[in-house]
Amino acid sequence: MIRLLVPLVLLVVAGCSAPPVADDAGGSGPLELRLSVDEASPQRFEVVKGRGVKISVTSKKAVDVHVHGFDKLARAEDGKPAVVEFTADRTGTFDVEAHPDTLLAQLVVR
Amino acid sequence: MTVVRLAHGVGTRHDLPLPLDLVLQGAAVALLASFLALGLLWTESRFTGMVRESGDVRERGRWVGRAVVAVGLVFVPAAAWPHLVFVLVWVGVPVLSMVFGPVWRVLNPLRLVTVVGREREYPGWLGYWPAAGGLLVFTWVELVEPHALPWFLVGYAVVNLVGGGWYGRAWFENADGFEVFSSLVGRLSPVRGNPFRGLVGVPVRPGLVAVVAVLLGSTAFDSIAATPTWARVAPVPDWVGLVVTCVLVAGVYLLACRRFGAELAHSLVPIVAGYVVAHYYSLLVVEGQRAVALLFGVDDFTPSDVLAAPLVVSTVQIGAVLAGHLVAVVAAHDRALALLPRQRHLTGQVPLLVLMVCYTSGGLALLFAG
Repeated sequence: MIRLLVPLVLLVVAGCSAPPVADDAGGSGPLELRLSVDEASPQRFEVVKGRGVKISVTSKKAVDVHVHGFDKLARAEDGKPAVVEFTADRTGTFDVEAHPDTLLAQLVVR
Repeated sequence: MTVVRLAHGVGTRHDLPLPLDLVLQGAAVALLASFLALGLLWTESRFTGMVRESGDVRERGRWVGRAVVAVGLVFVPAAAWPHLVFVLVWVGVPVLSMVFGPVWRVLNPLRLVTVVGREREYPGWLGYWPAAGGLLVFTWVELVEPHALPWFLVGYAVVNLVGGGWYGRAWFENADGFEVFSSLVGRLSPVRGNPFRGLVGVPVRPGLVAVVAVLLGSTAFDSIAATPTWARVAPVPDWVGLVVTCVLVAGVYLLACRRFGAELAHSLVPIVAGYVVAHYYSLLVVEGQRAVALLFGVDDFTPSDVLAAPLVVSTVQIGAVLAGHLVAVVAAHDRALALLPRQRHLTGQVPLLVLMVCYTSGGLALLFAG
């Protein structure tokens, strides 16, 4: 039993260990993120509450980009990236998404 | 219409990940407390099941409240339904049940059908299976396909009106997922007596393990599916992930408990309750406000985040998970003493104890996971 459970726990812990999170140490201007819908590889980005965030998203197809929780919407088209700028004034974890359901990044605002 | 992927069916904000040191400390406390409990707690089973609900007396007059709810539903604005179901019924009712006992059986307007229906004998082999199935379908709606909610509600109403009209109250006690959920966590209600006696009194019927596994597995899967890692590497569609998580939770549990699986399943209820509170606390206190506003037809209400401040949320999360774990360990210990032969009193408990530590540290890890 225990022999079975130990690897399982290890698996869970390994599976849950967070991927490298981009850090927010020391920056003064807005946090700038460049994301791509075509090669979406969602990660978490940490932001200190109150800091500005500027997200630009490129896409070959025309899509709506949505920052949840801040309710920012912008449209990306081929050759014309969507640009969203706002101040991260709420704490929490927020999805940046290309509709309908491609997760692009998560903003962790502390 | 733009399709928006929502957290928990409603809402656009997830909690902050728990700090890693809190997760590790919480897991260490759970581990230590569990094995200390094994050595220090009593050696003879103490808790006898509490017999509750000498039904008929209490049942009389309740139709008034249900009728009020039923009439009220007619006036619910269309925009308020998702919040009503995903926040107030799915999270609010269980949390109220943990405090006051089984609330859903008092409120459920569909139970009105028992006034006019028949009371045939409910088949014992069916047990809680319909409830487990209903809960699995509901969590699929909540986590994967929130836009199927109207269809789910229609199906839920039809199935329960037919089942309730045919089998009477026994149908709702066994087969209505919301009522089974509410009654299970209602066993923990301190205002209705000793929660440990309440837990031992959970009727052991077929499908009990499945119900608990769906409740635990779906909440766990919600955390998994919200991580960028899942979005990046998900090998399977979400609905497969949901089912596999539930099956894994049940499988590992049955592996640990073997033939006592059903008799010990009640001891997982506090873990379910703790994890539900941890997982949904911020949704309840933030989107709960919006739910009430929507019920009164206010569409542009901005809920206050005060009760969901990061420190409050992480304290509630750690507190709820650990409290649930401790109650679960004590409940399992007491029941194991009654089930196991004397010479296996100590060793026989170890597998379930290890499993509970895994569930708890896994639950904490999921609140941290990216």
